[in-house]
Amino acid sequence: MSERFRVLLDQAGEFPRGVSEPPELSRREFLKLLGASMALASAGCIEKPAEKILPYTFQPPELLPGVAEHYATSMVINGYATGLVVTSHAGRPVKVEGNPEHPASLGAAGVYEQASVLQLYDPQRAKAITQKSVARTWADFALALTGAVPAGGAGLHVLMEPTGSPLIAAQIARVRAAFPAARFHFYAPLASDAPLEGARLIFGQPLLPQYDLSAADIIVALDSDLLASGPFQLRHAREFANRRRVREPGGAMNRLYVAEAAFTPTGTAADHRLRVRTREIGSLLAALLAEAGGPGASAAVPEGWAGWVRAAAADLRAHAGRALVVTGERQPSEVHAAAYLLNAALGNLGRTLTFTEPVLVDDGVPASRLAPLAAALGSGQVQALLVLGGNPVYTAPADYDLAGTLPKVPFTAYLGLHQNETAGACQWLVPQAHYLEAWGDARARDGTVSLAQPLIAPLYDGKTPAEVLATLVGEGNLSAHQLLREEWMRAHPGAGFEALWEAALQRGFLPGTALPPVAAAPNAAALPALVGRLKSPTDADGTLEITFREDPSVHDGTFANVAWLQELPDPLSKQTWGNAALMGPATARKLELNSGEMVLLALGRRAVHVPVLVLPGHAEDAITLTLGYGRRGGEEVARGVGVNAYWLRTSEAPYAAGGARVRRLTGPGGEPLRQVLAITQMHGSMHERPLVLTATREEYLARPDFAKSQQGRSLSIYRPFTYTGQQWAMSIDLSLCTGCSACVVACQAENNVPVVGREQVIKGREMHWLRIDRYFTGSEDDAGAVVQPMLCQHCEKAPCEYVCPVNATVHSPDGLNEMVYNRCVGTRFCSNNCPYKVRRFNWFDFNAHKSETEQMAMNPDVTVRERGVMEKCTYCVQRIRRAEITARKENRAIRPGEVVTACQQTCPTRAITFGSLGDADSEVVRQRVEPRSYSVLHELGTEPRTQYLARITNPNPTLPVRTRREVERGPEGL
Amino acid sequence: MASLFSRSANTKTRIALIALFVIIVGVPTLLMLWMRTPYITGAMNPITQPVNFDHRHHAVDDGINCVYCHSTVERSPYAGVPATEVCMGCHNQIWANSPQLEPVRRSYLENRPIPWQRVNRVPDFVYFDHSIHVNKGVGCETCHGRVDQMARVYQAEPLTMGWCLNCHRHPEAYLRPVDEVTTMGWRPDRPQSELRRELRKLYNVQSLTYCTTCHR
Repeated sequence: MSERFRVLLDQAGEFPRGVSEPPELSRREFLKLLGASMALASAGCIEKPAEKILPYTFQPPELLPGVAEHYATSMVINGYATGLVVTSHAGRPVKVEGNPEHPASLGAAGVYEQASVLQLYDPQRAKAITQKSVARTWADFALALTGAVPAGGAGLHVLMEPTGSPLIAAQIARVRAAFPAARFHFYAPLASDAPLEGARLIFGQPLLPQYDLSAADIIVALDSDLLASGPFQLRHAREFANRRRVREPGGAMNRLYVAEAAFTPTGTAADHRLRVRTREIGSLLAALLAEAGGPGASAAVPEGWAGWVRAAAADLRAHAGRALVVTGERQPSEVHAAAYLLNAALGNLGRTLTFTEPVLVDDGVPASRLAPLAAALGSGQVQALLVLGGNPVYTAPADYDLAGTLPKVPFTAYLGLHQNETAGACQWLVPQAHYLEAWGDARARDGTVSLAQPLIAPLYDGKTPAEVLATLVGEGNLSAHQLLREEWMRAHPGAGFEALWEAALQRGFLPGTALPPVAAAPNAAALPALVGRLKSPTDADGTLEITFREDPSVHDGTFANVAWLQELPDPLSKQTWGNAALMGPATARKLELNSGEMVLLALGRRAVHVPVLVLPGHAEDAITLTLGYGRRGGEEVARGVGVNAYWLRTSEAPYAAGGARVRRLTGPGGEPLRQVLAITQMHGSMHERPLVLTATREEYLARPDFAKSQQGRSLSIYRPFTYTGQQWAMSIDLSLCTGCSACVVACQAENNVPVVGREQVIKGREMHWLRIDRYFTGSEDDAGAVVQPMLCQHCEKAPCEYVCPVNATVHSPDGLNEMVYNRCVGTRFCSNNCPYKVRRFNWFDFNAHKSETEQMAMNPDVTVRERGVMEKCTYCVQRIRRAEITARKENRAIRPGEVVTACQQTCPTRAITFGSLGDADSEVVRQRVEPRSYSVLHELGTEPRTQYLARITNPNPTLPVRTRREVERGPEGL
Repeated sequence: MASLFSRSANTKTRIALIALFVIIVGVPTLLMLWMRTPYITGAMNPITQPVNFDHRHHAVDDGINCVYCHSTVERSPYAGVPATEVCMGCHNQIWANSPQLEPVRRSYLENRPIPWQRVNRVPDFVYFDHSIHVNKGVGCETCHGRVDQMARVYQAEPLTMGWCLNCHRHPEAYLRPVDEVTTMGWRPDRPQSELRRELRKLYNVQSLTYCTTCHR
């Protein structure tokens, strides 16, 4: 052992502190512990642990112990509902899936929906009603609340999350009838009213745009991540993908143009992506209007945009009526208005773009504006404040200073999931029922009335906003269930109510309740005035633009305490456990900054310390910072992770602001201060290997066999294996994958995949069975990206199997690469020999010390792995075996499509297909005979059962296209 | 020069080598045998239950079928332990005041489950499914023994992996007609070998011995 190594070992140790050695002990204590553990060990040998069986006393007739139940419910984000089907084992919800019939889901679920199960079982949820940290009862609260409300309601303010719930709307009307002076406010940090206000500018009334991507040949998305964020993202992604599925060479495809600052999944899917700063979208739209022949618009097109704008405009004109221009919610209302007018000029209105009445409840104040409440708080007019959900003290614009003004209000109460920042500023804390514990209703983005039914009784006696509002009008004794049923009875009178109610419970929504399109003619004469306002801002020299964005993992901070999401890599930067100031490579060069270096990021008089992350493809002279981190409440997972971007976010510039300054932080010796970022993929390019095969539509038509080098059987010294019966296989269409990562969380939830924490991620020990590899393409300064879901390939000639000394990984006759945990001794030979690096090792007992509630989130059909065991994707073997048992009990063969893996089930674009090669008419067989189907690392002869469909893009022929070589080489040095 | 080794050295070396061999082979063998003894597997150990329930009486004297109480065995992975209301279905009429049934009545009135002691247990990483076994003609008796002769139920078989595989390799040796699954002491009325081959074909019984059959 060299001296240097010995020193290193002494400093770092082989294992983290406290794992391999006991705490510092005296000899006497050590002997005591030794004796005690020996005694315990020998006692354990004598007595077998007794296990009890506790049957029901009265068994619910619909329940079959050991067989999962499924219930339809809805989850609400930013006021809009997504229909879900939740799997429940013995009364415990363990897995969320999309509701195939619900218009906002179509069977898919996003990352937040998938992870919401863990939020339900969060052991740090608020558990008791408290008044200034003293435990109280619901009756105490009801009494205090009714006593605190002034007569007539003057000074009573209620702050809610945006909602479209018919029940809440009716209750608000009742509260206003009893307290005419009461005021209601709706706020969510990422719910923008700009789309509605934009409609007001040209229609004279606020209208909600509804996009139909299934009818769009050309889609232009301006700062809009419509495929992977916002309400209806799942539907948009499906409609987009359905028009992009290339069945044979030359098949029809839509074309997507994206202009955005930070790289998003929508930008990844784009055929042409333009890097534009967030506040320049307006002038880009003006240029597009001029080129596409918008009425009365003219603008000079800046040099860098010319090609993109001309091509997009020409395509829009050529596909008038079958095109769509979408603007992101971040953009100001005049940008939305101008985009509506462009769509109208192209004849898209009523085809790809329709308008409906707004869905969300509106009390005169547009949803998402906190200004009236902040003004009332500042002037001391508020006598009683009810905060129902959300976390406004953390998420409100920094200039409102809710943390300072809330404690001055005589009566404040907060209904919330956690003991968070808002709970700290309010007198009363009432635990909120999680949506999986609550009765309620909501509306989807298209207005469809959706029902939320509980999967489990409230773990901590949580209440719903409806129950608190009922208390105000003297109905505090009614349960959320009673309130909901009574309201629905009023809304649907007549003898048919019970049938309607039962049907709604079963389906999760009321069919036919989508809002009808409003026939409104836009005022095209407003355009010149609008275009005049679409100016690019001029920023002072040396300053940057900063964009505040929803975090792809923790949203606006709502999900910050969900460990699955903290450890979910960002789709593009692959960062976990925190955020960073994202900037483009040229900007970083100019500022002489590298990833991981700490900077002081100042905006106005406010500043934060934040690490830099250089992201190819990011707009230059701009920074993106995601919201939701830097928490200071009682949530232990979230506390102290990342940087609080809300601190910089003011009411004047909630989404993008100019004038940000960056200064490098240095240590005492002048050396740059650094923070190690927990990034799961350090390399950025394919290094000239054909991992993600790409071709344009034209190339595919001209050379259908372009993937030939990655296809077919290869010579092997290994004996061919005889396969019998069902042959499981997967096919992943890279044309459709946007990298949204819903599959990663779905896999984690289904397969009990542990969370390892920031330190272990930095050491490369994350445990995801399914990861999404991201490779940048082109040059560093003009980078695109391709993504590739990577999971166990279930090789027919599996390299892992040849090296396992204990036969812990073997092949099943139906083609699965099986992992036998109870045989594994942890040599990790298999992982070293796996060319796809999809095997994960349990370096620690990550599942030990789970709280009682977290244990309830475990899927009972999947073994929980211990320390020292290798694990990896099983193709959801538990689902395969369940389907087999069901089929064999019924004496029939498994039907095609009967086995659906968790990743496949949740994929919004249906990029993943799974099935048996034995069924000649199954979708997976159809896809594998497509000429673009290929194997990754085909030259190794592993013969994977997972094959990929090469990524086909549909670029405009007039624009330069990245060659396959440029795609595979990627940016230098990444 | 005196000899370096005594006359007995050869013999001693031989004995030592043989002893070494015996230890190397014998100790692991003994340990492996030890792991298979009923002491370790828990077989043949009658377990005291909170209610002095006698299967002999219910299954033989009263002629109640296994599935009357273990009602989910045909549809669920778990055979199911009956809910208290099933017990009380009869015992609110029969022996309604018996002190033996006090825990059952208390459970019923207080709506608290009876804490039965588990008798047959496989490890958590084994996913055994009752329904597929009984639907393919594996009798209750085959794994659980003559429960109708047990005063207190005990684990009749070792439930080791080798024991499971024994049947999974040659399932035909353990099959019976599905309508005889709950019969205790069933004897085929025809030559066994012929009947069992027939049954295996009729029920399409497969010999599944790959790992994920049971471990997931």
